[in-house]
Amino acid sequence: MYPSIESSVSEIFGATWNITNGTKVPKTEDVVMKNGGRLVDATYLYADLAGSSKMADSLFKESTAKIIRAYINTASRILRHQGGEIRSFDGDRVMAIFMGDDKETRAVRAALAINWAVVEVIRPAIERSWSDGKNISNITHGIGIDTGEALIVRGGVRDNNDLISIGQAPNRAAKLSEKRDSFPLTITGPVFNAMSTDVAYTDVNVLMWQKQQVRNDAGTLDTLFRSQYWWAI
Amino acid sequence: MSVAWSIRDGQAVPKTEDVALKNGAVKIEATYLYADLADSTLLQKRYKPEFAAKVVRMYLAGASEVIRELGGSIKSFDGDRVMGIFVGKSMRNDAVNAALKINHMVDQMMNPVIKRRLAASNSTLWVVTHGIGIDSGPAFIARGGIHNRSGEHNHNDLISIGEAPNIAAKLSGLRGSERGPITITSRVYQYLNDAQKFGGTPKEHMWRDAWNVMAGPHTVSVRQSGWRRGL
Repeated sequence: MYPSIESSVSEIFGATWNITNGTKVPKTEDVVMKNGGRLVDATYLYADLAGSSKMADSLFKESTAKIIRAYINTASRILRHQGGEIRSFDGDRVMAIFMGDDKETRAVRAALAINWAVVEVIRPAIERSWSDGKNISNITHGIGIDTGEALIVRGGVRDNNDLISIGQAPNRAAKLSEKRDSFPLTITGPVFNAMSTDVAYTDVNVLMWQKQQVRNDAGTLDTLFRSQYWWAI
Repeated sequence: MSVAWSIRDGQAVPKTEDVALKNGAVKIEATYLYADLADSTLLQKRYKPEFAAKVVRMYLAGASEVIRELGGSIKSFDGDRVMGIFVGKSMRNDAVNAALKINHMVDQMMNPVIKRRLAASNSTLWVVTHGIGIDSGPAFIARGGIHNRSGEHNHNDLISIGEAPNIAAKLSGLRGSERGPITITSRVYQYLNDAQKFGGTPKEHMWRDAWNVMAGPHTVSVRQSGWRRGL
């Protein structure tokens, strides 16, 4: 086994990628193991349940598990309903990739719907389920969305769901989902510019998004749009 | 939310299909290891995706291989980090042994290859840094409840709940200090045998003195090391 690590390290570097352009979100087996890759133009959404480690302390693990599961399960259903493909799942967060026409609009629509589910479905269910539900029902979550070109390759872990997305969009979406303040939804400027007005304004023409300029690691300003709106699905 | 869990005590790390989808859960004493590649945002910003993808893949594939070789199970894999679960009598020693070997892989295998590669093309140098966090304790493993669609069989949707997985994840983010990339809790350290405590000739203690760090809401006593062990 061990010599294989040394050889696989140099092999990975020696090999040239065999990259094809993807028009739909690949499955693990669509990307050949060794050096295959798909270059895609896609919208990435991360939905992340906040504070679950605090929750794990104050609650029985059984209760925490139910709450995490309710969130992950609901988010996954909504993401798929909007045409998103779930490609990563880690504890209390889920990642979906959207491709094709309206990919930004569908991703943002899903985000508004997940926020609706948290506020109108999951929190009330927690309050009903436990006698002290009022204290623990204030679960917070974060959703980050970015769009752009990404390279999807295999991680090289056998028997696993091991697709890795490399690019600014998956990276920023993950980072943005970790923001914890009164705005659970965060999308980037390119997402805002590409999405339709349906998901930008309410039915009485109020803009659902607040513009923020945030300094990034490189010291330049990123334009983000934040929201706390929800929209039932 | 009103369905009661059907809980059993586990002796082995469950596979996704071992845990009933609806309300199955396994209670287990386990050691959690998170291996986390640092600065992947910067890596992807500075270099072409083809290069960044190779670095990420080398780290994840290599770390997973080491974890499995030492008896750990890979139960979570996300972007730039991998989580291994160890169970059984020597679970803490196995996990720490894996951490020392992953550190060797990074310093002695990946970084030299990357350096040669970048030097050959006159590119800016990139040195891989990473962090490994290890903690142990009781955990509760349940299904996340994501159904695979037809044709999909790759969702590993197990959720680990408990202090240990949370603390291990947080500790893997403590990298970058001169204290070394490996951070373990003192409750892991106290079970280590000499092979995981001492290294080199003559034998030296591989671990810095215990100190307290914040890991999310927890204050935990940890020890750190920059030692490595050949594969």
